[in-house]
Amino acid sequence: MDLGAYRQPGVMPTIVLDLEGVVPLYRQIADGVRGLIAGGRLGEGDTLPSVRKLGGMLGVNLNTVAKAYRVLAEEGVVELRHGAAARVLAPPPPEDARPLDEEAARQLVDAVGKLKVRGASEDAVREVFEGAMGRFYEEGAGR
Amino acid sequence: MSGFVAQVCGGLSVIATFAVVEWLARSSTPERVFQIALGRARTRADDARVRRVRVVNLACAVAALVGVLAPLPPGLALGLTLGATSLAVGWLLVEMGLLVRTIELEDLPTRFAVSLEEPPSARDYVSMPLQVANVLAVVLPTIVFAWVVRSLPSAVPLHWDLAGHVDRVGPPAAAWSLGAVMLFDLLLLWGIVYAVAKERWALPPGDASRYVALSTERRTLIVRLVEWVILLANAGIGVGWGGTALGVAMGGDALPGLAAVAAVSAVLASAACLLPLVVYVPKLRKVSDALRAEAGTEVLGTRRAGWRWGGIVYFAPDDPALFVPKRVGIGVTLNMARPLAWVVLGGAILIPLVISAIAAR
Repeated sequence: MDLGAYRQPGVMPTIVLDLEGVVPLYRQIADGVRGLIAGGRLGEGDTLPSVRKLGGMLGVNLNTVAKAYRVLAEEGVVELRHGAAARVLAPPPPEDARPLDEEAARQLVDAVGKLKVRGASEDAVREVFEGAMGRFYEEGAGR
Repeated sequence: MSGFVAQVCGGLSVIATFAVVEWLARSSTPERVFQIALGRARTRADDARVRRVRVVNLACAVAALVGVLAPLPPGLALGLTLGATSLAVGWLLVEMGLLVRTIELEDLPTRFAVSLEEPPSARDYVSMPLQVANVLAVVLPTIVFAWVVRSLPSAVPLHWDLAGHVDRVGPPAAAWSLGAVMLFDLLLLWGIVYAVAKERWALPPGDASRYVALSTERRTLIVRLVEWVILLANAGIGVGWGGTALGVAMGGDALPGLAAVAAVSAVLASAACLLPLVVYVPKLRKVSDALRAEAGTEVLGTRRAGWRWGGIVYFAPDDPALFVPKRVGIGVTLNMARPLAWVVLGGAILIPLVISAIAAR
């Protein structure tokens, strides 16, 4: 039996869900798809599973998946096309040495602040942050 | 058909039933009783349960064999045999039901991963030679019967009692019901393969390669088990059906060939009960234990609140899945919150009833 990608650890594009997590499911799905795109597992022009299909695979309501796709479309990450599969859009060109815009910077600072308030250690936060940088920014990340 | 062959066939069925129940009782381990994972330490109450099942089973098997072998009036013999074997199986089922109420279900993880890749399909799980054999097991006896049915007399023996006397005579076309039963068996096989392939496919977060391998092996084993059971059962029916029709067409119902046909048919049917269980259930149990060790459960991705009645029934309105792995026992089960689940269940129960009702007319 040929299981293709299933045989190789780390190759499968997966979305992790926590049914009882504090983050709403539509955001977990949107975060999962965004993570796959940022990590290079899904590239420009790749199509996403249909709402019905992904809902069935994840075991969640179709409206939840549709909401996640709308969030991604509003962010300009994917393009929703009527009657066709959602498609991953080309990322904007990297803006060298330019600072983050205000909203993006605020989100990052908020995230670190939240962790500090919840008692996370500096080393732990730094480790996760560096892991994410490696996953999304280093050469050939996620391939 | 001679009384001796009828006794051999009846005796084989009794022994096969006894062996299945005895095997299920004796295969108990410190972690599992009747192949059901306890989720807790095995207690004296569990040992007593196993002992009770074995004692009742033995007593019932002796009574059923008396029914087959002793020179009793036919009605009494049949009643004793059927009553005793039903009691043995019924007792086991009741003890299993009571046991399930005492088991401790594993804590179901709420975090899991889902792959965007297409999961393996039904084709990845089936064995082509067994599928071909399954189709032939239905097609060949059908051709034989269709070929001889016209040359049969207008009234043929349709059923024999335990003493080997014909107790039902009717038009040969009535025997088509056996073909219908075999066709139903084949559709049931394909239905189960489809259900196994469409079952919820969730993975543990992180490196899931071992879980994927185990999960795939579990599904392959379930499909293989059902392929063998249906093949042997249908071969048993097919040999009896086609063989008897041929025998009657070639001259009466007292031919030695007819007796041999009945014996082969009974052996195949007995093998259908026993062999796949003994071969595949222990393998499935090992895979199931490994899956639990790997991910904490075999039912990753299902809703905790959906498992009712000690984990036997799955009813989760917020889960779109129709098929999910069983939480207790081995195999696939339905999400009873989906209306389609009731259609599937109703069909699986009603179709055999309709076939027997038509056949009994």
